[in-house]
Amino acid sequence: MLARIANSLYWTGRYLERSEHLARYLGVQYFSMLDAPMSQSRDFTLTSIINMYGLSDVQTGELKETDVLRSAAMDYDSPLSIRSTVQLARENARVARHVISTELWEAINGFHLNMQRVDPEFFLTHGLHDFTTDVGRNCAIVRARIDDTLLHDETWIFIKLGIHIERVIQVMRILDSKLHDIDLMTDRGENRALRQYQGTVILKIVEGFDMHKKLYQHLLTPKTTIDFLVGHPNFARSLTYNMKAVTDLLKRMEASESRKPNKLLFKSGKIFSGFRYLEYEDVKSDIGGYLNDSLTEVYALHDAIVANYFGEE
Amino acid sequence: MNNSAGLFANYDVQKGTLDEAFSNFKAAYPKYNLIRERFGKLKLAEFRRLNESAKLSFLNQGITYAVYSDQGGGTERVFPFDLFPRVITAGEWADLEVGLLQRNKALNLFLEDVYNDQKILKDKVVPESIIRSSAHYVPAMEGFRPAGGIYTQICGTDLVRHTDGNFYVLEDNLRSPSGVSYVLSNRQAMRRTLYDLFTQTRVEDVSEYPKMLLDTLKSVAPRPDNPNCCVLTPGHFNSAYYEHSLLAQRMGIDLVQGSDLFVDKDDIVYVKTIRGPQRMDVIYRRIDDDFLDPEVFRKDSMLGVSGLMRAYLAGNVSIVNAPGTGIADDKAICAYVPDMIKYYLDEEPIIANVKTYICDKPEDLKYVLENMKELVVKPVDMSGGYGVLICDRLSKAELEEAAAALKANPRNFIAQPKIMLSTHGTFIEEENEFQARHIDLRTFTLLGKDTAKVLRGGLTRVALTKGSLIVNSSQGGGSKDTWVIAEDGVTPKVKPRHAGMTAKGRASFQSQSGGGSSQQQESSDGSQQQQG
Repeated sequence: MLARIANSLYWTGRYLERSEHLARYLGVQYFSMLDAPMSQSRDFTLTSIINMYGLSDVQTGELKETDVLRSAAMDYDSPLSIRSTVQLARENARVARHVISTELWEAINGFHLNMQRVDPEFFLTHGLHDFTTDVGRNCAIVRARIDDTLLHDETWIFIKLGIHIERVIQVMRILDSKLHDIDLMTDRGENRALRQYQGTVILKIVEGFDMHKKLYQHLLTPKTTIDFLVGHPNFARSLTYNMKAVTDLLKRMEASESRKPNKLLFKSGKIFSGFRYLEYEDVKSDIGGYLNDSLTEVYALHDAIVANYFGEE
Repeated sequence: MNNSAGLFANYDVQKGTLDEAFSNFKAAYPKYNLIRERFGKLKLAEFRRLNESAKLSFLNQGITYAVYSDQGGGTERVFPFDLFPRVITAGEWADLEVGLLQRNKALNLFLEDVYNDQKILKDKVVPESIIRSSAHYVPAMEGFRPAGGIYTQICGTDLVRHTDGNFYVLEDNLRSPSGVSYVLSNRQAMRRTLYDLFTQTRVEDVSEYPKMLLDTLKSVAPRPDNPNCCVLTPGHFNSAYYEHSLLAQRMGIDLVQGSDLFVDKDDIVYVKTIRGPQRMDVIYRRIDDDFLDPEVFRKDSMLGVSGLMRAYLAGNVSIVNAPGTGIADDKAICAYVPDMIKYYLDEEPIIANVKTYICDKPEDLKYVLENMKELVVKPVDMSGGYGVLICDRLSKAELEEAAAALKANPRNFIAQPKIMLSTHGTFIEEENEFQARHIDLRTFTLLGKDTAKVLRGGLTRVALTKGSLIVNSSQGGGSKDTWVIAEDGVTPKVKPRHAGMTAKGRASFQSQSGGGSSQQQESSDGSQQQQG
């Protein structure tokens, strides 16, 4: 397979996965403002969205809701918006169009066309819920096309590699962003309930609330949240699950290679073990610092994949 | 007009033109009335729904082209497609096929001759000056003979039907003729939208084209065993990227950009893969000569591959079409093709040329300047319909300006009598009805080492502007599905057979155990029936 095509497939997976996390964060975070046990300030919610998206062009100070929502979801001029992210997934798929199935291509192209048809004005007044759930639905369709209509060969491996690495990164960013939100609140009085409520928000953002409840009955603490999202081997959005997937994919690539073994498996296995055998007690004093260190390792793994398979571009 | 019901109610065949679906002419398809009736019977709302659904299918498949603007960047548009098919009878097509093969074989013999012995120039059948002055002449090709003597593996001959009912050659496209992806996707859109039409009419299949093309590419490979072929594209910002991608996908080969390839010191071409370099044998390039290799052509080219010509001339890679073929699709050369056919093949041309005046010949220039108003003047080396002057539509000042340009640089121009391209019923959205629009036909001929095939079908291009004769997509043209009628075949007798429904299979297929509720029940003949 061409190095450039492999690169495009990998980024198709990354952007596709990213769009879904961004949409869920936006939807859940926005509606949490309305569902919270007591009024959660609008600025708090909007700032959290800005932080997660990395938006810098939105005016800080007095936040205008429509500006934040527009740049987070609609803005084609900003590469960070949901619609731009979908467009980038589609552009990468277009480059690799000839190696993927017609069904997969049409699903991704259709996703992009759906996004293009959204009227930003309607989105701002009535469309936020439908829009964010629609992104998730489209991603689910595309993922099904990836798994069901591609040969599970290198083409598939590179898309999946992109999806799982992006998922690891985004789940860590979601955790980091929400932990920062929690830090902003004092653990006293009225704020206490609100602070605890953020755990629910985190789990809902990764669509793990129901399964977490099933696992821990009605207990929801920082420990259960971290154990579940970092260490659980069978929850498809946990860090452990996805690093296992990344490691397995890299193993398959290496097995079919005649070149000398690369360092990728070593790096990825190490990250996986860190997540799988994490003990909450060891990191609870500085979860943010722990997440940042892990994120650095994942970024280094990404760089190594680029260097090994895509050549220097 | 008969069948002028419904959507054709106000259909008007323009005076002095031939309409392929309504006029009576020698090669007219005798059963066109059945197709006309199918369309005529549709209510406007029904037709619009079909039209929208066809359009949407192009959009969803990503069949779009980029339109360049001065502001930079391109926007994607759907190529306008008309549902009313253009039909060519089996008999007429058979003649065209022979004629196209004849013409393109002669053109290849001409290319081989010009780059080697130059007999035709020495015999003064074609003036040497016209070759020497061609912008597309590639000195590096001198003395080189590509595999099988084939220079133009893919030839796109453009035909027009004149008012006399005959097809004429308008021009040859021998560099990288495009448009075949629309032949494939137009047919697919037709089959999805108006499938019932295909049950009453047997149409030649076009879907074999990618296989034909791959066979052609492989036939000219320097290493015959399992050659590695690719399509070379300028990239996904190119207006024909969809076509490059579709052809690569259907042939199951790599779609590469210049930066994916490199040539090593032994003049071998390699492609950069995730597992290191891999040898490339055949490059179906969709970039112009100028950009192919900065060592030989434009030094600033970012699209090509440094050293590619070295590898080619050493016989280590095949470039399809060969570099330097542009000398033979120069519009001034086109006029000499009938002479080439006589010279090389000792045959009479089967498809005639449109009469062409070569402004570089003093007597022709004189005629052109005196009769300019009746002529169409074209630059010799532009494509896409750019620079074409239809002189009876020019103002006096514009005419004078054109005459001055001709006199200043006669080699740059040819002139042809204004050919009345035939028309075909085309749905005009703004008018909500079918109207006559001019059409032409791009054909696709594939020549390999010991293989020669013409795609049975082609791209019918439509000038969507009323009265316009310019059909190019870059100038607001659309297209139609082109049906070559197939001879009636034999329909095999089919016995009913329920796949996988053995007695055991049936039991395990339909009876859900464990207390669940089965959705289906078996009927006595073994077929499935919905309950309730």
